[in-house]
Amino acid sequence: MRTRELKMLCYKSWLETRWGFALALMVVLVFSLGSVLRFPDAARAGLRDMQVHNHPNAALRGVRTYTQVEIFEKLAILWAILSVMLGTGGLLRERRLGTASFLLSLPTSRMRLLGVRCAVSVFEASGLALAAYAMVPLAFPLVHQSYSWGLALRYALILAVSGISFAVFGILISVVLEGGAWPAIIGASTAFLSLVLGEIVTSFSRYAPFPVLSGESYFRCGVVPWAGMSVSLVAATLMLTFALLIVKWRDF
Amino acid sequence: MFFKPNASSPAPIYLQLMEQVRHAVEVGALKPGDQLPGIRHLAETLVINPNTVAKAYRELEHEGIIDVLHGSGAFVRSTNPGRRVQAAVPLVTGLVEKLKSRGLSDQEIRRLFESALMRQVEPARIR
Amino acid sequence: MTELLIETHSLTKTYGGVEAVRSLNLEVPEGSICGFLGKNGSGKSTTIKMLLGMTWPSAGNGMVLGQSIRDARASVEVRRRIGFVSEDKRLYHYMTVEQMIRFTSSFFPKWRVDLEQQLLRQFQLPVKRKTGHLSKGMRTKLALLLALCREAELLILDEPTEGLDPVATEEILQLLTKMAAGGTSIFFSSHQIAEVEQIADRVAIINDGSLIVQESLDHLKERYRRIQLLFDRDVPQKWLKIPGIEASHADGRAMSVLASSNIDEIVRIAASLEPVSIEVTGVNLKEIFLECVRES
Repeated sequence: MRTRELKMLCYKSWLETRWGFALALMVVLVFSLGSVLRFPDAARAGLRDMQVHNHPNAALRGVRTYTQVEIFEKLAILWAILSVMLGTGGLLRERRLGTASFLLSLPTSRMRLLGVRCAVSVFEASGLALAAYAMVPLAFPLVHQSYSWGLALRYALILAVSGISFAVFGILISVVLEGGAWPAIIGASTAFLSLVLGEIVTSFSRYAPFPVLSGESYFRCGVVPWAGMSVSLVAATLMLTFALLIVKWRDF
Repeated sequence: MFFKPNASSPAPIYLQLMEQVRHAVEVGALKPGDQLPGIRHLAETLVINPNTVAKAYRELEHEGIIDVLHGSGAFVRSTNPGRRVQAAVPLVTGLVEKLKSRGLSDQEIRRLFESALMRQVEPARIR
Repeated sequence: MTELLIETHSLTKTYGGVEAVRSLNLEVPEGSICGFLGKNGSGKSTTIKMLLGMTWPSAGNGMVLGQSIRDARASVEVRRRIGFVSEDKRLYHYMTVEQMIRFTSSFFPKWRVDLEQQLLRQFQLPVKRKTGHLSKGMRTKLALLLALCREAELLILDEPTEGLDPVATEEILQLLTKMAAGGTSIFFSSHQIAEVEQIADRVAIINDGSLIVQESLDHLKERYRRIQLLFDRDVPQKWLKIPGIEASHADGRAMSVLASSNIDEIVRIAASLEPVSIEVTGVNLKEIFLECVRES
């Protein structure tokens, strides 16, 4: 009985977010593919730069460096913002649409409703990360280069796990704020700022979100940023708990 | 068998139902031993509350007009109190004809009967 | 003593200093159809939301099917035994009628597939159409279907016939009486007084957050009387301070008095004023309601 209910709730969440997910997927795939296809041009530009400034650009430093600097780092920011947006929606949006009463009259707890939505958002965000990163080893042969699938997968996993907190942040924002696009806008802006600011506060670089997301430590010295990922997971748990408490006591 | 009661009338629906049964018995549309529709069936047909039908039947049984047999249904009683009313019919008909021959209209006659009743019975005591 | 399916004790809800619901003591017995009447903004929907655990009371408590409305966990199980139609008849616009039914029925183990099929046919609901493309009337019918097929012990309906034409309204009322005959208790709010008068056996009238009337409809109709008097001189005014008189209206030599109790005494005093005619008539629910919610 419970399984059927859960399946139905997941199905409903999926129906609600599928177009947003499809759009986000298209954005990241186009970005990934585009970036990979630009590699030859970037390499040529880099050669010209060398002659003028004697400074090799990322493309000249190799496929791996190019991928890390021009693709993964930028994807990390893009993906984080999209994750937050995927997380928004939920009961407050339903209240505006008028369907909250129907949902809340069903024999299921608010916690479960929120939990399912959170799980679906995290799942979608992970799918987004995997697809975006998989595009890299898939597309490089088109420009006569290659990139290791295993490597891409590892970076994708680092991103997906350490970025769970972004999707959860989207959930939290939409539980606190009402009104149309505001949760998404504010969420996205906050995510962006946190990443940019994190760069500035370099003393905390082990936990700074941006380097962790892009797997910088793994790139530099093959060390998985376990500390950063754990902090992110703890933050996600805290935010989810907070969201659950708010939802529990809210009036609908 | 039953007419749809007027919900917006000041008279409670159960009283209207009772009146319908009494009237039917008086004029002979319902004879002793006839079965009344089931409570559930009547409620659904007339689109009224089943409790209201149940109440009407209870009160009719209390008045001695019907018998409610658990499980079988409601039946009109053999001893017909309507006989009293039937006996009064010639009296009333005669009086009405007399008043009419004096030139009174239907409305005037009706009002005379009503105010006579008002003075007789304690006002507003339907139950 | 019939079990109370809904009972509240001093239930109160305050929104920023304004009392939307004041100290409500509602009682809905098992096996009854209770009509909940009130003007717009009188607190009807807020009360219903509190009963279903959607809104938390500011003060007081309530029990639905024996469970406290303040207990979130108990509330979940109670909702499995209740059929609800909200004021907002909106459903998930991206789901088809079929998907809505499949979604909803998964939560109710006692779902009546036979009734579902019957109502789909009766209401002529297009199963493959998205609910966002249904007319208001069709959405209401679907909302009712989703509530009625749960095989619930109690139906809580907020304006169940809103947006329906008279034929559809009668169909719904017939369905409701059928469910009542089968043992389901019904608590419904409505602006259509005629509907309430037709199928309710109990009436609760709420005004400005307070419950002003709560009794059997028959008792209510038997209690209230309109006394119409005609005088052959100017209408005497001073006698109107008798307890039981709710309102009076004088026009030339005619006077109409609405009384909710103490009828015999009032008629006796009225008769002593020597009017040329006294007529005592009953009052229907609409007049009673209008009188009860009139600003004093």
